[in-house]
Amino acid sequence: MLNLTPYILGLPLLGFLVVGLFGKRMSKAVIGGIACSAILLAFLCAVADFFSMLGQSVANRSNDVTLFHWVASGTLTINFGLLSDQLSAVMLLIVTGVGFLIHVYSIGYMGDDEGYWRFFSFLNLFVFAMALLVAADNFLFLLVGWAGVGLASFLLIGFWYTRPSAVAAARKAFVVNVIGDFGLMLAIFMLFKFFHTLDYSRIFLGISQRNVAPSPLPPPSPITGDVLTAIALLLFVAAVAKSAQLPLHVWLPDAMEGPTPVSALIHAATMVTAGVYLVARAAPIFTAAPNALVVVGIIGGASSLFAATIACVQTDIKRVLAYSTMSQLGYMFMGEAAGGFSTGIFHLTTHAYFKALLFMCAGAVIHALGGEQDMRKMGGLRSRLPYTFWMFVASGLALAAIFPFAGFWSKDAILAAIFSTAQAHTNPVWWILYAVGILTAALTGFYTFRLIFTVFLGSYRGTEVPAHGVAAVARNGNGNGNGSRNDPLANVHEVGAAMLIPMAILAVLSIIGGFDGIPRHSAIGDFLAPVLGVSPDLSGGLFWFSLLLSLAAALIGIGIAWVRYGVRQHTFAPARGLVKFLERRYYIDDLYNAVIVVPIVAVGNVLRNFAEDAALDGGSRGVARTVGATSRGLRRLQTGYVRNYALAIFVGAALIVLFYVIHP
Amino acid sequence: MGEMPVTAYLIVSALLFTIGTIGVLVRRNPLVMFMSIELMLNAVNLSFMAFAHFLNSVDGWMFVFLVLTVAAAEVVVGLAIIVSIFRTRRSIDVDDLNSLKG
Amino acid sequence: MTGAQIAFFVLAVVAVASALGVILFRNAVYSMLSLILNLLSLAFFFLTLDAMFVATIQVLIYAGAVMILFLFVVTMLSQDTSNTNGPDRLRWQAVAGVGFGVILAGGLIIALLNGSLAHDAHAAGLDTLSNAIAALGGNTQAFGWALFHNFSFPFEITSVLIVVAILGAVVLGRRLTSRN
Repeated sequence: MLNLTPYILGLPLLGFLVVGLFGKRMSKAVIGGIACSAILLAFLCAVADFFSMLGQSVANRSNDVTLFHWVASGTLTINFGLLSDQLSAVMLLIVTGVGFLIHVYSIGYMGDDEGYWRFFSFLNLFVFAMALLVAADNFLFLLVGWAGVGLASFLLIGFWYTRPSAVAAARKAFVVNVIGDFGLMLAIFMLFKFFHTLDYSRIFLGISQRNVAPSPLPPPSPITGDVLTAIALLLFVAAVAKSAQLPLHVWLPDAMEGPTPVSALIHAATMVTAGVYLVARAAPIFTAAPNALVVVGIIGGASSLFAATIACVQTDIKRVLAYSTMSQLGYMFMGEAAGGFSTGIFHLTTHAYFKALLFMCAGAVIHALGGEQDMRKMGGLRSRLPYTFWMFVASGLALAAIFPFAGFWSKDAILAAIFSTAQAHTNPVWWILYAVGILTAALTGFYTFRLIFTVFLGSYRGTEVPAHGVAAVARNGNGNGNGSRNDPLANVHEVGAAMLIPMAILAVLSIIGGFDGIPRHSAIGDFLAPVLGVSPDLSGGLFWFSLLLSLAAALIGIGIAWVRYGVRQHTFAPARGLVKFLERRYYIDDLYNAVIVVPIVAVGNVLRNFAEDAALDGGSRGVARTVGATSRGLRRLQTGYVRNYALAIFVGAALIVLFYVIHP
Repeated sequence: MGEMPVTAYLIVSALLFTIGTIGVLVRRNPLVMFMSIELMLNAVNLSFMAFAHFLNSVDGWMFVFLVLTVAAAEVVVGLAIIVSIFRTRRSIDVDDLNSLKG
Repeated sequence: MTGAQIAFFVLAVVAVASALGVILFRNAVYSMLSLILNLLSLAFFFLTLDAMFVATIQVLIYAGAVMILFLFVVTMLSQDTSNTNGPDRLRWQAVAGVGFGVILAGGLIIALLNGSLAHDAHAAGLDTLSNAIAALGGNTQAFGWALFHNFSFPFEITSVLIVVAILGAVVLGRRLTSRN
């Protein structure tokens, strides 16, 4: 079986280095060509791996290649190895495939930006780090990839580094991510302590054999359920930070400061799904720790509902989509918590298609309007941007999980898994999570089509005349262009082919991409079963009931949006009451600011004013001042008068004689 | 004529030395300061002679001789310096030479 | 009181008085004359100590040549310049100087009176010194013998020193004209 994973990692890394080192002197065509072809070749390698894997028998579908031995110290051996199995094959296809489409899209979107070469080098770096994350065969290199994508995210969110809001957002993302890194590191420490290895295969073997003595030396600690629960929860902390779930979600809305391709790739399709991947990869650990799975489910459900409610009142296109991402990630976690690890991965793949497309469409709108992102200033763009409109609708329907689009199948697989688990367990929490899932489906339909109707239907609400292009966004987030006062949209036109073609491909996938998960014939579920186990499923009548219930909820949501936003032009009043509460994101950001940020800054100020000034004053400046004062005092001896000097000599002599008189 | 104890000579020498020192410190006329220095040198000569007599050694006279010679040379050079410094000034006051004031 | 003691006390009084005169007279010429008197009294002291040759040298060189030099300079400078009659800019100098002077003198005298020399038996030793002098053939011969036997190197160095001093005096004494 082929394992081309080293090339899948190496090609983007090479692209990053070449464009990063020499990009400043290359032409934009060359930069785009190198970066995109690196990812394209990586995608082709992933496809080749996938097909060679299909050609093998089920038992043979895992291939682990060790590139070099890194640590060999006592009982700890860590190798740099790359695993090619079903789960990593699916993830690599998504990462390189969607990554390639977004690279092509970026050629159009960032075409008039001066930092073109920087952007592509960072994008390649990101693909490399993400591929490392999903292909590593031990937890340590997972951590390396984890930190690498955090770095790439930081670099890309703060890409327009002259904007203070972008810099602050990048910093916020990085700081919150570090909390997750910390959780992952603690989990790694515990794994090493109890299993004496960090390789997936040996750890999972150890779990399955834990009632037999796991390792010969040194005397093993008993791997109890509590230990596994602790490890699972620590891993989940990392997943919460990376996938922007409650309470570490605060960075994701701010991360929309980055360019739209960044939002599409990192904050929709791939990086935020790393948390979902981690939980899936560590499925044996989680399965052995059912209490941890309940926690996962609760947080996933809470985040999902929380984000959906906030998305209903957002006025910035990208922020609606950001909260939508958080909400859908909550769905994935709920599915995994219910034991359906492969349903979570399935929803990950469909979500990658339609969410990336949604972001790309939003980017097309923003690009066409010269940087405008406020929905209240849009409207009536349907006639000007027809292709964008229809693709927006297609991906919106997929997001709202309407039959037969991709999202329908994956979301229903998740809901079915939750329903089935609720039946099997006596814990009422699962019924609550199911209800949350249905309610969120309704809200999803509502906010998605609120967005679409507001942007494309009705008449244009904007007061300024938009320009075309994204360079204006980099400078100040707004543009002014060449249209006339009578028809302010005169200059607005569709975006170029470089942006439209990838969007079209994703639109096709959003429509047909769910058919590999048709229930009871789920190709993807069967494919992933050797790694992730079989998902709980419903049978017969209950299955149709759940399916129709979720579809109805989504349609109700869309209907309310149509009535409120589609039929007549909606005027956006300033936010009050409940809407204001939601708009302020439940005041969580303010809470964090007051409880964490302000005290730390205050402590820093105190230290700066007292400790540092005291240290400087007492220390260096005090020494200097003492020396100066001493020298000023001593300088008064140098009067310049010869007689004074003679007196000084004489006084010394007299004192010496006196001494010898007293002590002869 | 040698019935005086040597300490008597030494006491006289000490008094002369001290008087010379005070003269150096108190007077501002450079010539008088110089004369006070000569006074100090002579006081030391007296004590050398007293000790030569007390220790029955003629070598004490050698020191007196050398001190005397060196004092003469010193007077020559010192007065030349004083003359060249104060030739152009209106007053002879050592306190006017205070340009090395720190 | 023997004659030696009377002579000693008289000479001591004269020496100290003339020394005080050197430092106390306002007029520089009077100070100089006091100094000459002091040098002469010291020459007499040397005589009481059986050093005729050194006393003669003292009078010839010190009281003679050196003081003539002083005289010339004093009279030359007092013509061009006014006396130092302004107020003293260093107020504490005189007080400190006299104070420490008293301390020094007092300390030395106390040390001398309590020291080992005061209680030594053979304070005077004229007989032995005059024997030594006679053995060498007289005062001058003794002086010359000691100088050229034991102190010939310092003697030579001193002569170099004198040459240097002469040259220095010549250089320093020149008037600076535009040619220099």
